[in-house]
Amino acid sequence: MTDRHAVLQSLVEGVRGGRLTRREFFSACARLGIGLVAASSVLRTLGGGTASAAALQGPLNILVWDDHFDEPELKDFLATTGVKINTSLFDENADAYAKTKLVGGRQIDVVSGDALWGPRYHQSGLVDPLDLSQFESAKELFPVFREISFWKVGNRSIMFPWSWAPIIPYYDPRYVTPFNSYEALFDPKYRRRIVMEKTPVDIMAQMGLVTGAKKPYEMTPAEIKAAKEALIRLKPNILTFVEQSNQFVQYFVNGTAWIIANAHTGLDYRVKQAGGPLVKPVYPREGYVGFLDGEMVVKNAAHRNAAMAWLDHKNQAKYVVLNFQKQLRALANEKAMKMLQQDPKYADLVHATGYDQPDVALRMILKGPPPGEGLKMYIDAFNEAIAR
Amino acid sequence: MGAWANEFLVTETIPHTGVSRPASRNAAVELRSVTKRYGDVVALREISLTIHEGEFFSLLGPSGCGKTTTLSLIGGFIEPDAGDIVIQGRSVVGIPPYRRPVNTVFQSYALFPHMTVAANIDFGLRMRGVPEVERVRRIDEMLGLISLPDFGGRRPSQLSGGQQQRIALARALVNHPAVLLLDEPLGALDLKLRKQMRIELARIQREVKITFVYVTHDQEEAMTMSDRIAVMNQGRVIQIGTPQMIYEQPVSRFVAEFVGANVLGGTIEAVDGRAGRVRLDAGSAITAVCPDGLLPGDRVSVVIRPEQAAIAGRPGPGVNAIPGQVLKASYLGTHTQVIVRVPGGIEMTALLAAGGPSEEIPAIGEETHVVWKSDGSLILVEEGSA
Amino acid sequence: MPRLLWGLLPLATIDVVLFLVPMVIMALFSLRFSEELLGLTGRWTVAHYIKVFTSEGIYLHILVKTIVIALIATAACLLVGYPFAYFIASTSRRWQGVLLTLVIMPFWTSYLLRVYAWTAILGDRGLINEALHFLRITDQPLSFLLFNVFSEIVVFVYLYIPYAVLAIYASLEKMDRSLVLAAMDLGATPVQAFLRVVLPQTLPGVYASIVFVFIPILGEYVTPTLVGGMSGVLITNLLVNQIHALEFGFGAAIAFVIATFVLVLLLGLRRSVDLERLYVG
Repeated sequence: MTDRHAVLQSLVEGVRGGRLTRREFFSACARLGIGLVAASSVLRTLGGGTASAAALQGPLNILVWDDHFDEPELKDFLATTGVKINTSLFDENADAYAKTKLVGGRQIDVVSGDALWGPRYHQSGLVDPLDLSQFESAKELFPVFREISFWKVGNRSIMFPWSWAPIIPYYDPRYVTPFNSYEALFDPKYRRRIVMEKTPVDIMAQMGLVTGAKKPYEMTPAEIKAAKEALIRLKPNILTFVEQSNQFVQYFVNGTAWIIANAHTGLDYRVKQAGGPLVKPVYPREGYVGFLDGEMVVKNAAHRNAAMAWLDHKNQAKYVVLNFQKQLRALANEKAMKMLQQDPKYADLVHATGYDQPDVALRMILKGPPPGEGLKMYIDAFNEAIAR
Repeated sequence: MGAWANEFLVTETIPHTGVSRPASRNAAVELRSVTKRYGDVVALREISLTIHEGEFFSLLGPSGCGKTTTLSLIGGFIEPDAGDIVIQGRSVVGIPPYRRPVNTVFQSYALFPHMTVAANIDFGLRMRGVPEVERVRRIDEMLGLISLPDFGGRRPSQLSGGQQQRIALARALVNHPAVLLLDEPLGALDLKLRKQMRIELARIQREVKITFVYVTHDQEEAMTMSDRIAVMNQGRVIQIGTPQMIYEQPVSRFVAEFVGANVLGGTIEAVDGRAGRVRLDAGSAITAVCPDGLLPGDRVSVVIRPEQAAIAGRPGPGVNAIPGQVLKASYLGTHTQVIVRVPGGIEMTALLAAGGPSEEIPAIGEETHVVWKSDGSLILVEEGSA
Repeated sequence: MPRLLWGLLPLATIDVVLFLVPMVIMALFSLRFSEELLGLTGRWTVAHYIKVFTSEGIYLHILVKTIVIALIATAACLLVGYPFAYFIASTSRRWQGVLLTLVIMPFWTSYLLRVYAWTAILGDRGLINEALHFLRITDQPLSFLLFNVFSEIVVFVYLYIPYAVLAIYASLEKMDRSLVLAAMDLGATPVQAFLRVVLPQTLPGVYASIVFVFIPILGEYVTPTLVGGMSGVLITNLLVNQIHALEFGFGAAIAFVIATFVLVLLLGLRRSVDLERLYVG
């Protein structure tokens, strides 16, 4: 697919440079067996007389988390390929899954997702696994992320890995005695002092860790019940849920929260940057959940070639560096990590976020949808706990 | 309320018995040097009035003269800045409207749209705690008085303007107030209905014998219904008197013009006992009844009432005459009204009785004279000059 | 007549496409049971509705709680909004314009921002606590001001009072002011005049306020999320959690239970007021 694309591109350049006559061009096209459709699309490109040399069809539709892209790579992509990108944002894996399932490749070419949602997308026949070796920028990845077992379909990967972070408690040492277990969260002295992001499944999984569930994202009904009881027990200490984790900073800065129970790594740095206290991370002995995410190409994507080109483009180290500087959490691109380590401003932060320790990512309990009826049970239990 | 009024209200349970009005001339309402200001604007300047028990009293004047302000002061909706208001011998200054023995018929009627006619009439009785049996009886009585006996169950929105007007009257009268205040109650009706209602109002007032204080800018309305009229202008009372007095002996040019008389400016030339000779600004010299104390050279107004003026192509000797041109002539049945423009651009009105000396209706544009007898006109000292 | 019907066509189209069709789809969702996530196929079932009324009673419990909170907030809106509307209507034309502009001014800023602003007023480091601290009235911040039912109701009242004020103002404005004078003239004290003349006249405005305030609060999601804390969870919060987990069927069933309640309430209101009869016989 990519080879054919490259040939077509060189052909177009040939016509523009006057090295090929139109006739020769068309016969070459015929030999390549591209057919009328491709030829006409190329003609359209030529006729438009745009500066772009690309033969890619657009616009590209991506359903994406807002921390997975930035303006520079969108602009550069448009400039080099002439393909415009329509971005739609989403918050929850389930929302994106529902949209993809409803409209498919006709309206979505690329979709972002969390670790174990990948296999769910694939089982439902919504995405095509990718041959990472075809992407230049995939060579820049830490090798471990090219070999994520649950993403493997033969020698292909369901996702192009992007970022990862453990989801762990942080505490303000001015008020909280150091701890290494989730049990500390239940201490009555922290009444209305804990703030959490409202992520029902992950909170239930965390509660599962507290109550000793073996697989926090695949709990049995009895384990779910125990996790629910734990959440009910924790409720008096929870001040409020926030919708987005970027609200955490202010709660530490203004002293309202003493503990944030489910933050990404790097929160300590952000709080300090915002003039707040020096908060501390806790890697609880019961384990911790985390996310590892990436992009998938939707099955029968209308602009598949552009989708592939976009993934190759946006995963280049130069953009990943910028993304880290903005989002301050670990990514899958090793080259970018090395570039950041050279920068004294970010070297410490690379370590604080675990960017230089990809093995931490592999120790996390990865986010994913509980299988089968599990999701329904998790949500019911969560609702029952908070409605109590 | 005074003892007499109580007596009156208690014994006068059937208003329409046709008993003649009480001979008593006790004051129902007294205004003593009342002044009312709105910011810098003086609405009333130290006005004093006495309105008698059982009287139909009108406050007449152009808009902005202070008549409605006077009514609101009696009703208690506004309070005076100075002076006293006495109703039945008791000062009511500072007493809210709901404790005054007064009821009002509003210009807009102000019927409660969410209540039936009966409930509207019942409202005041209910507020004053009248027992139910009594209330029902009085409502029926009132509906009879206003000749709408079967209208109790209707809503105000289902009634015509005239009917609403009568309900508003009944709603006020049912409380047997010491004084009934009427704020241009006929203003929203058409001419024909207005004339009917004048007769109706006068009849009802005679029957219930309650003091009516009636505000209007329509001199004809005031003339036909009132026992006495107070003509007001610019926050002052200019003249108080019976309709006849107001009409025949206006005390000022303003009153004369307001009641519809012709007024001509002039200068005294000579005075001979009760007769004065006046050189009109329009040129002609006329003679008229002259008040005492005027000297030649004084500025005066000559008042000629329309029905005392006539039209004559060739005026005879011994009558006052001014040449002019007929502008308009309207046949009104019993009268013909002729409007003549005389020198100086003044328009004079003459009312010619049918079968009177001028049998023919003059043609428009015809050169003629307005004529009147010397005792048919009145000399007034011009305002601000004496 | 046919011309009139043609004129109604755009409205009817909008109604069908934007209202009726989605409603029908939601109704179908609520009656379908699917094994797959967001499966559009499945078997017919009333299980979702049964679940609304069972599930340890939590959905009913929270629904009742939502209704009670909405009632309290609506009552507060009326109690505060009515006098304010009365005050506006009694001022001069020019002041009415100014005051009404002030009433609708909050609508010029984002709804989300306005709710969020309350955390800056009621929070531990918020305006009130800082002021109390500055005045040395309190030593520790009053933490009960935010993230509970109290703050939730305060924000509801703040958000919805303009609707109440505008609806009541409109009916006061329509009322003939001389009716109050007439009532007082007939012996009614100001309180009696209000109760017997003004209030009945403005009942349509009061009922409109209830519709504009009570019903939207039943569907409030943002306010409980941002300032309700753990005790302020309302029915829509539970519903949204289900929808996010792709439980469209159950979510739709909850929504229809709320909608049915609202419908019954509206019909009841209509019957008890019979708005037409207020003016026509």
